[in-house]
Amino acid sequence: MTELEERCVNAGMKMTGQRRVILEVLSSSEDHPSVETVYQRARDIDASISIATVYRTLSLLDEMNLVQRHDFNENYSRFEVNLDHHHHLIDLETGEVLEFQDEELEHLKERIARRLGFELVDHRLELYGRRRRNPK
Amino acid sequence: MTGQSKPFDPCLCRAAVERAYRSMQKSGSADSIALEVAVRVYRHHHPEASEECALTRVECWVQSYTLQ
Repeated sequence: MTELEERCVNAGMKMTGQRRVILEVLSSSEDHPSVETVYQRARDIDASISIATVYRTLSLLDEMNLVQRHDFNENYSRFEVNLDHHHHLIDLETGEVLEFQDEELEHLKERIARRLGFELVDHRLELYGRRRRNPK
Repeated sequence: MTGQSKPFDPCLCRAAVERAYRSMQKSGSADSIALEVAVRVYRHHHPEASEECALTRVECWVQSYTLQ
């Protein structure tokens, strides 16, 4: 199961074979494909998929905020998987999960990877903590 | 109280474990990552529990959120 597929299932989307193919196409695309391109790529995997199914699925994913729609001054939209990059801070006492983004942290990760001779491709970060009794 | 009833657990960790699991799922994390976080929360409350024991218990608690 791709990460996007898991996210769709978790968000309550009913999964069908054709939707699975469309999600697979989106997950493996490194560009921003249009509906027509998604359709062509999906048809290479499953010839029974119609363009209407692709339209409906992309619209649904857009409504669920699982893909991002781009309008690059063209007559049609292009799509990409919405990665919504963020990290988590988990309260160990209560299980509360706070999502956060931090520009400084993003730069720091890049710098560490570069210093060690790597190009950063992916990462995951979870912070665990307890609420401070007297926060200042 | 019968001998077959569930043992009384005075610790409130179950609510924290389930909350962490559900929140991670809602934020788009894969089930495996949500489970990892939930186990970490459990082991904070029960540091004496082995990794395997913690995983078994947490899997049992969050099963209803993964079966769809």
